[in-house]
Amino acid sequence: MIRKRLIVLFLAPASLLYGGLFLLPTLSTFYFSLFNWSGFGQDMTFVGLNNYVRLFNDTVFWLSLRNTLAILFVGGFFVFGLAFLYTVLITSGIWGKKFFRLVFFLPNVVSVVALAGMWAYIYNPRSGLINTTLSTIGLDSMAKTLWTSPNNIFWAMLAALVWVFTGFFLILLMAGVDKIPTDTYEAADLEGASLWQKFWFITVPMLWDVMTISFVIWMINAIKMFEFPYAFGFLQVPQQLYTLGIYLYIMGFGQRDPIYQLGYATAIGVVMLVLTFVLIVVMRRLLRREQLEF
Amino acid sequence: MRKTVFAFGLGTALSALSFGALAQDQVKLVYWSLWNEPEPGANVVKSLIADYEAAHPGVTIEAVWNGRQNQTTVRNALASGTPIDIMDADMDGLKGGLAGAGELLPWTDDLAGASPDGTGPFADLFYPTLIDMSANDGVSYQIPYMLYAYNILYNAKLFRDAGVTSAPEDWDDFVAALEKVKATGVNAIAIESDIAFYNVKWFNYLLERIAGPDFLLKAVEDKTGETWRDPAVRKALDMELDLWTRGLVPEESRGYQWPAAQQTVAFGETAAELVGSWLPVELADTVEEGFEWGAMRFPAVKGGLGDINHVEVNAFSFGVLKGTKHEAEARDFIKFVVSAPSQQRFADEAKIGVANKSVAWAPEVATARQSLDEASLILPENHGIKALYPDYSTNVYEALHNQAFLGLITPEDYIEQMVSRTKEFWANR
Amino acid sequence: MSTASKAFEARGVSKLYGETAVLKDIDLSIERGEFVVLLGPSGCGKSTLMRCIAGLEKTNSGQLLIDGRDVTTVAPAARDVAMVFQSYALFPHMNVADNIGFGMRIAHTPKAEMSARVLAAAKLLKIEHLLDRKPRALSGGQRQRVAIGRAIVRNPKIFLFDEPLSNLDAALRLETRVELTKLHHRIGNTMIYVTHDQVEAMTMADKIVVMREGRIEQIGSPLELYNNPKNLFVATFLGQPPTNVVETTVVESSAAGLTVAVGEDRLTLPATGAVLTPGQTVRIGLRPESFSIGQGRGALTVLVDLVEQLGNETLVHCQLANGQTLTLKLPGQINPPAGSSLALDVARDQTMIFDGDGNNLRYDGRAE
Repeated sequence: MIRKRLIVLFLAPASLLYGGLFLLPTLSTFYFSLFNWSGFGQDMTFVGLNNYVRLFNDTVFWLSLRNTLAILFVGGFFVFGLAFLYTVLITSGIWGKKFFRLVFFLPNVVSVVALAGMWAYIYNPRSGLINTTLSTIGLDSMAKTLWTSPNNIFWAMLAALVWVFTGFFLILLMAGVDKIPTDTYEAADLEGASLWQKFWFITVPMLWDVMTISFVIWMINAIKMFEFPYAFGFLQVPQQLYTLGIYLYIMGFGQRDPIYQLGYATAIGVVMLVLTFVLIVVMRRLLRREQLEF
Repeated sequence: MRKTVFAFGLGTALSALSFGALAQDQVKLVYWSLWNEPEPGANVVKSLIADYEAAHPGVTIEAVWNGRQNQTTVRNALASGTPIDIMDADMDGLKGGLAGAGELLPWTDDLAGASPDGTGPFADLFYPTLIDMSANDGVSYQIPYMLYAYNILYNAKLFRDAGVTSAPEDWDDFVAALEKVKATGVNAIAIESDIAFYNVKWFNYLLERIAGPDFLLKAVEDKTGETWRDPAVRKALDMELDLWTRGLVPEESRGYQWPAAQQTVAFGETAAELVGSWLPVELADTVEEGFEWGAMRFPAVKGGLGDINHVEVNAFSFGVLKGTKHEAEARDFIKFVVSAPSQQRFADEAKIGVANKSVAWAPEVATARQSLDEASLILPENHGIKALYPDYSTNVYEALHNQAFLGLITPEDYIEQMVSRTKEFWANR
Repeated sequence: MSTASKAFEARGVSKLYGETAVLKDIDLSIERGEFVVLLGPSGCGKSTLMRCIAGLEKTNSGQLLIDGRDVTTVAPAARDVAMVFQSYALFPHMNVADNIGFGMRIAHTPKAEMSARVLAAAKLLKIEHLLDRKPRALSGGQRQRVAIGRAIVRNPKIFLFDEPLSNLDAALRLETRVELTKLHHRIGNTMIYVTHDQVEAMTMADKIVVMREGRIEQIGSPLELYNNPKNLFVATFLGQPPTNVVETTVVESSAAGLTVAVGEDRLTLPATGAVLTPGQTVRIGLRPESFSIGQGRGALTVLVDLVEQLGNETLVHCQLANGQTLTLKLPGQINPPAGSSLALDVARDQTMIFDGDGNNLRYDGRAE
């Protein structure tokens, strides 16, 4: 009896924190999304599901959603592709490990704004790192590419973003790879497994739980993606770079403009929440495997 | 015993009295600012606060430096009950924001009253139409103090070298002048590809020069969107795209991210940029000694309904929050900031344009001021739609224009999309 | 037999980890079908040598030959060797059949052939009922069989075992030892087996390679090494309890024999070819089982410290008059009280005499 009470007592702070900092705000988010509200003063007009209907008919919302999904899937493909490539390099013991590690870990210790500034320099049409390098090695026609022109800017941003995030997922995956005993790979070497076969038959299945967690973390990050594309847009974020997170911010908080539609912005937030939830459930179902012991 | 109690009671009463008196004397104004602390403008504000506090011993002013998104910060702070007396923001932002939401005190009586320097009505201190422009339904809730004009800012030496001695007043002459500049081997026009609200000024002006100052608002407010099919729209678009076709805007500008293009102006590689009169201050540390700034009015279009003397501006304004407990002091401080001596300090030290028309501007922006002096009409940002329909202004008008301007969509696409998106906007409202 | 047809040969193989030499100029040849044990204390280089044979480590110099073919730089899989790891290194996400068939699977062997060979190997090891299980559902012994099965199924030229019994409990170890020996007799492939356990070496090996600090100390059959150790290290490493080493003083050395003094006692031993001068100190090695309770005075007098009864035999820990300790292994059950004195006879032919460098002066090099 006393034990039970103690359990309640010990769980109470965590439950209160969880309820107060997560559940309550989530519920109130949905509540606010049913109103038109500027955020100034108390004037809130109940509009039912109108904000959602409006979202459905809003070109910019679909554009933001498309960009967000492009980050999630295309960006995710490259983030994990690079992260896995590096883990393969590690298991093959190839030269240059430390160099790659430095290159990939750097963005984790530098501020987003500084990183965006660095990439602006890299992409600059005339004096940028890429184009000057290209023209130095004689690729003059390629050196004229405008990486940040409106047709390219999203992909330019995504390339930089992939670089920013790869390091973090590398840390997670490498921690998982370190857990795999080396003699497992040696046994495979003796059986004649190629680099690719070792990756596919050993690394991937033995890394499964770490991969699942990494995918979930990436998914959450991608859906709420804000800081980097925002910083990449400097003074004014071009619409080509809008993500759901940025569009939410623009609609709820204005950027330089007095757009103060908190109710509408909140509806975008609810969509993001639902999207995250659905995708995680789907992904966890697809990736479910039994626990491994090694 | 009774004596002690009496003495104790008296003491308490006395100390309460003196404390009360002290509290009454000591007014603390809280000012949330759009300046970032290291900016020259913030330094001037700081010195003005020091002077004001010295002249008014009972008043202290606490400044919080929030930067340009001040209004959003203020909104969030108000929601959590933070007491704020004075704030400032972009004029159109304030009009569509706090002023529109009824969170600011009106200035109608003060503006009708005497000016702080005692020379006629307070309202006459400012550039004509500036106060009207900032009003919500005829009631003024804000006092403008900084003023930027959108002009063609240029490197006077590069134009002189090209043999252009007087500012062209007509679009064709303007293009001809730019061709001459280009012929000397420098780029004519600087464009930042990512800053849609800079680039849209070309379209704003051309549309105004062709179809008059009311056209844009009319097109936006046409719920069918059909006004966008007016030939004036296509004409304005073709004229600005002609700058690209002629190579007056270098092709690589499509990849310039701010501040890449304005850097080329600073380095003397590009001759001109259509931008607000803050540019000379922004580039002050980058340009060489003796860099000669010029500002020309946006040229007229032959046979158009607009006028070369219609100037689009951007301003910063003060507002006093409805919840203030020190209304009189707050108003007094704002009047102090817009008085001629205070405004002169902004013009001299921060080299920014000011709202008080009697003040001379710094040499770098003197020509910008001249365009305002000669202005017959002052137009707000995006001809008022930024304040009235900010989400349309950002998400539809500026965004689509940028795509057309940078060649991502054709002029035909642009017009079709403007029609449908305008319709969509009104349907969703 | 010509050199080319040896199952395995190492010629002057050296291996460095940074500055540290872990294998120093190793020469070794192994006949076809031999069961060879690499024996030595931890850090002696035996595992490294095996990993070099497998190709998991690169050598710094020298040559490795398998069946006459130079494999020094050949990839592990192409050497035709199979290895059973100390940890078994099973793939935890695959069932037993997939573990055993892994090599065939990645070589795209037809399914039918694969399952037939997996089943054959499993039957040989009596694990055919476990084919569907994952490693975590197996006992230690079963996991080990799977690991062996993975090796067997490849029918390699050489099996490599890296301390395969060290993770099993004592009873299972004994059983598995016997089974491995039987397996070797049945399939007859060459096997190289690494251990630090001299009992495993003695019981399983056709040939033992004793290693110390990256060098081979001696190579020979178990009994050769036991009876005719090259030096003090080999002498003390083999045999349980270890050989007693006693410091003595030379009294007389001649062709007839060597007389040494142990305290007051005199021991006369067979002659050695070496020149020994009276008064010189030599160490002699006395196997625990080479003692017997003396008739009359005996050769050595000792004081009993402690008696351990093993039933069929008795271990007696005792002291010489000068304080040096001796362990005796005597047949049957005797029980001398602690503190009592015993007179011992010594079987002289089993004694070893070591010079200052630890070389066995009675070592007969021709025996190899």
